[in-house]
Amino acid sequence: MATSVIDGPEVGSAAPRRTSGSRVLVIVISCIVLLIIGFGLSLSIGTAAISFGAALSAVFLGGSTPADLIVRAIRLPRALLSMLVGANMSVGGVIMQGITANPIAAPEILGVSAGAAMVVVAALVAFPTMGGLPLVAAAIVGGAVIGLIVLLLAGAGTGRTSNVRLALAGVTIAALVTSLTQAFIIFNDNTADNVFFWLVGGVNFAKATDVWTLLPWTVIGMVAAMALASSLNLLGLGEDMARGLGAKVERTRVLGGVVIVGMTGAAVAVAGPITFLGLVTPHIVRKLAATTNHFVIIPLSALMGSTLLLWADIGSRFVRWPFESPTGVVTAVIGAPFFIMLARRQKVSG
Amino acid sequence: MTRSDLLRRIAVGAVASLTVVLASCGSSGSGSSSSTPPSTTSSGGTSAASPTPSAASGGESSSAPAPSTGQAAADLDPQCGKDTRTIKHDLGETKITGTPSKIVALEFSFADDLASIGVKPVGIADDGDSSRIIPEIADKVSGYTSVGTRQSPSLQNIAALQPDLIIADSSRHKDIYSQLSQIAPTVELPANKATLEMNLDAARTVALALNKCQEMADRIAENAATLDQYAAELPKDLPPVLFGVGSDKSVTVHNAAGYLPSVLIRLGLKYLLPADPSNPQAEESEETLVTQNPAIIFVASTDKAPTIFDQWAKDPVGSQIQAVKDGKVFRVDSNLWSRAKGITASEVVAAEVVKLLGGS
Repeated sequence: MATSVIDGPEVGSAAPRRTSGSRVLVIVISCIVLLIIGFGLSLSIGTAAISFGAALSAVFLGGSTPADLIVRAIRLPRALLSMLVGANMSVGGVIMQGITANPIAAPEILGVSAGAAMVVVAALVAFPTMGGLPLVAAAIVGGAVIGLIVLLLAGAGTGRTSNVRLALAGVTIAALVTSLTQAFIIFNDNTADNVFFWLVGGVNFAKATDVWTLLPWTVIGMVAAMALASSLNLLGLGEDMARGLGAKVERTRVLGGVVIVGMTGAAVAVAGPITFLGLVTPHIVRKLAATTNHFVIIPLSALMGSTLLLWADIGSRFVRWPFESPTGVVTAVIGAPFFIMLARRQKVSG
Repeated sequence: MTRSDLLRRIAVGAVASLTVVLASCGSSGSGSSSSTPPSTTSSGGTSAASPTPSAASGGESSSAPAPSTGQAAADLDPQCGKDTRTIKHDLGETKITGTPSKIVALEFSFADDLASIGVKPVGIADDGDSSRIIPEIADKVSGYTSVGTRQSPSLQNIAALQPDLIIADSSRHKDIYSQLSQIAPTVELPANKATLEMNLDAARTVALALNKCQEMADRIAENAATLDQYAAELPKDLPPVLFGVGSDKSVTVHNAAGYLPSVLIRLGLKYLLPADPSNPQAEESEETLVTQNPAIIFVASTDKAPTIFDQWAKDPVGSQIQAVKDGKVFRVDSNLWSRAKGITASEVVAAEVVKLLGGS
């Protein structure tokens, strides 16, 4: 029953001749419907038996029964955090693909997430009580450094950066950095749970404080991303054309990089390196909305990324009920085939 | 109940259909990921690899009044005392001639087993940190050389010690069995993902390899008597207990198939989570913990680092847990409770349990 509601507004294939504006409207409405349904399910599905209605009343009407407390203190932060992380990762992917003109670029492909996670783990080893803003700062530094290393390795700036070359450099460095993260964990602790979190990523253990830590980065990141939208649109015409039209290409790339590491780093600091969202969401958005206009793609990717991660997190609860499986497992299952498909489409050149 | 079941089904269906539509590929989100539990499966069957048919008597000793000295010679493995012995272990059979004297232990439990019968290993995989050897056996193994981490021990360092026996964990060191065997005769036994009883069986196998069956039988009998004594001191009719390991980001609970729970059960305590040998531990959310509502919890953590459990215990949901309300959440050292797993360690843990739960 609910399934048909979800399948119903599926767009894209339905009306290929629709104008872009109404297409976008349909996508926005379907995403919002899916987001609302997902939000309700996320609040009402859990090991404690709490009905849909009781869950909603706990959030909107208050109350202090154990069920109300569970919904407000555990499930609500988890739902909100999935939405924020989904938005951050997806917008990070949009900008990454925009500034590199590379369809298989994304923070997780180019090592930014892995770098952020590694530095966070290293920081936690040195200062176990670290949290909040300092941890976000550590993640941002890690993401920035590894991202730059990947760009240098791929020969960025020499004018010979092929898409596949960039992705190869990124995947290789990400693998290296991830094994360093693993080494940190193995050398300093033998509990499997840290591996769970820092190698795969998840919103399973979300707390209200995580939401508050991430929220400002999402808001500022979105504003900054929108401010870059017109520059990204110019860049989308090709670098030479963009320069001809007076765009400051280098400035756009640097500012874009700052927004990427800010949004991705903050998300990784609270939820670990959840993969493939930054890669997949922008593609789905561009395909469904049939547009390359970043004024549309950026907010729509945020909306769709939120929806996707919210549903991925609901899915993760059933992998090993009643225990936790990292949300990142579900996104990887969705995203890995997608990445292979995109990579196969690339022309291997020079 | 039926309603939430329905919701669950809707959610799964919706996620699956969403996945298929969006990713335009045939794999469903929840379905295919569930088929990849990230654990080794060998440990489930390892108890069958017990080398001594008579070793089963160890399990009965818990109900019998403590036998003060060892088993009769007839109970020991018939190969004991022979010059060449074929040791059956989890990854096959290894022939050992004579009495090995230079032994490398790749898990703390094996080092403990050796120390328990007065044998000093030449090498231990101590994760490069000698403080991980529990103080109770530190003196008995002093002078050993570290061979690196348990997860990936240094084959070079092991070879440099020219050992004549390597004792490896069949869950952790399965993949390097052939390399280890090239260095020295190797036996692969349960350590990590095994219960107390399986660890004692492993100790018996170690003893057979060392030709010290009687010593080990005596030591295990002493262990049984010690644990019986602690069990007798514990208050009766305590509610079921739960053991978990806390970190900054998550809580991993162990079920009755895990080592530490099996020690608690051996002490006569009831355990909250039934055994799941294929997955002796799992991450658990605060909500699930509240739903299970344990009345006694042991939370292991490293050092004094705060764990997410400490935050749960303070928030309005976690503070509803019976154990939190009653002040029955006990912080314990993960080095002893989670890593050690040896004969001596089980006795030290038992002593702590009696102290924490108020023995008579």
